[in-house]
Amino acid sequence: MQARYILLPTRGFVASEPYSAPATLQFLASLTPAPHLERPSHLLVLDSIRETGAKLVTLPTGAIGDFRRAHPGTRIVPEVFYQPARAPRPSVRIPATRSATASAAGVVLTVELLSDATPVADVEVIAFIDFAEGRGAQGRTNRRGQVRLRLPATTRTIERLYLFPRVKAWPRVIRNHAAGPDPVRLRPIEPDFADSRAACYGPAQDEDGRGVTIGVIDTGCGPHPWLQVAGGVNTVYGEDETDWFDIDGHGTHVAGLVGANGPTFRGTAPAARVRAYRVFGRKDDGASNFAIAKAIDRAVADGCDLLNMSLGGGPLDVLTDEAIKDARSRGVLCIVAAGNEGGPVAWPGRHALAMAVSAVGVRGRWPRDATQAEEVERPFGREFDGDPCFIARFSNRGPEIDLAAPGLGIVSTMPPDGLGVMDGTSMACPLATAALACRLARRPDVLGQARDTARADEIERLALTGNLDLALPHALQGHGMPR
Amino acid sequence: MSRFVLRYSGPGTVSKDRALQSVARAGVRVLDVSGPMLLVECDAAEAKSLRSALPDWKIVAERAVAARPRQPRPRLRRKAA
Repeated sequence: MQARYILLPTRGFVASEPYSAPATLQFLASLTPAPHLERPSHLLVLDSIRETGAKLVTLPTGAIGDFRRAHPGTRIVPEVFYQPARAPRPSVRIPATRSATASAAGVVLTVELLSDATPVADVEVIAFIDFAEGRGAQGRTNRRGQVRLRLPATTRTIERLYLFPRVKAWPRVIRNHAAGPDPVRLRPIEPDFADSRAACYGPAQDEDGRGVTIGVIDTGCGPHPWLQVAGGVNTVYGEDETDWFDIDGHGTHVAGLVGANGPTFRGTAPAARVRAYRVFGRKDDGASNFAIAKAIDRAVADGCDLLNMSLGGGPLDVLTDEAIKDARSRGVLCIVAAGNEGGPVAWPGRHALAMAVSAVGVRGRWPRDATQAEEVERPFGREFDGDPCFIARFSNRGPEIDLAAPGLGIVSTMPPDGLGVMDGTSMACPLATAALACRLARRPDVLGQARDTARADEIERLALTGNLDLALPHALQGHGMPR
Repeated sequence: MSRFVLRYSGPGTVSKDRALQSVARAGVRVLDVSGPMLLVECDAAEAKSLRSALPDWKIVAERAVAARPRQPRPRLRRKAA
């Protein structure tokens, strides 16, 4: 099937030195519009903005991978059409006939580990007494593993009870839970448990990723005894620049998937050098465009080869855009999470010069009753030891997806010294980055190349070549799973 | 007062000293400097005047472009009580 795309130089919409490699300049200049001619070539040029500028072309949808491998410095974006901005219409959610619930006295729940009945603190508990209507209560367990939920005292059954522990145990969902004094038990995380990541990648080798430096732009990294961080910067304005330790846990989980090297847990590129760039502040604000652009700029100056950005969801922003392009012109590739809304790829993942990563799950690679089972969605793809893979229900998808990697029920490091399970394209992103680092480590000719656009183009070519086809549509898996 | 980011987008190497002089002349406070970028605090009118004083610099409002990473979770739409 043919579709229309726009071809763009590496930077701007008219190719010029030094932002595009000579090969990209020559390629774009060679394309002349011929809208009325049937060419034997699979590429038809319909229109052009200046001789070396943007080209409107048609290409078979199945040829995009070959095209990007052949011309990695040329951006290819789908032609899109905007719709009139009609105001949304209100919709009924709660039937007007439903009466108000009685006042709450509260229901106390105790959470323990299944293995030794020790209380589990810091478990996010979400209890629905009417799941379809979204009616319920939520809270977090204290040191005694207890949480008081603001549910009616008359509650006998919790229709769905979700438990998301921060560390030590797997998340669990219980249907039709009988409210009572009996504790709820969670299955502990066994370090050798074969999660979706283990199913797809197998154990890492000692030398995997050696010589490659990865910048983790996130909530900070560590401390964790199994995670060696070579250094970092906090780019949040008004905070101590040297305070790049994790304020949340997310960044440590991400960094551990890349470079952790402990006795019972390892990242996918354990020999890679990890640097931390904290862009999220201690206040519960988002990451500002300045903090992100500054982090990208510092990471490039610090000699990072790949930048992992497990973040996104904000508006398209010219500063982030320029920073990603600037990194690219200095030989560095950004790998970005696609987002977790189950919709189109979020910004900056959909940046044409970044690699957007979707989240893969392997069915059954979690304990019975784990919440991950609710994220299984057809179509199923390639099987791993008899278990089919799929793209998680929450994962964003679309033509901007470049790569796919495990992102459902993923075990990794959590500060200060534990292991935790997380889901999201945030987890898929560092696994794709780590797999790419392993490849890059085996290519000293590319790693040692002058840090310019041509180097970044070669790294992108590596990222898009020889990936495992998951037998899923392109909008879900992109160019497959790097291994 | 708002915060704005100035990023050099002109040809050749960045002329940060000249930009800092222009910013100082406009009475605008510089909060942070990083590579080709300045973070300043000023009102919209001052940002507009900086835009004309520094044609080779892009000036954009600082804003959050990424929320704190969250795990996908089922959502309550209504409290039980």
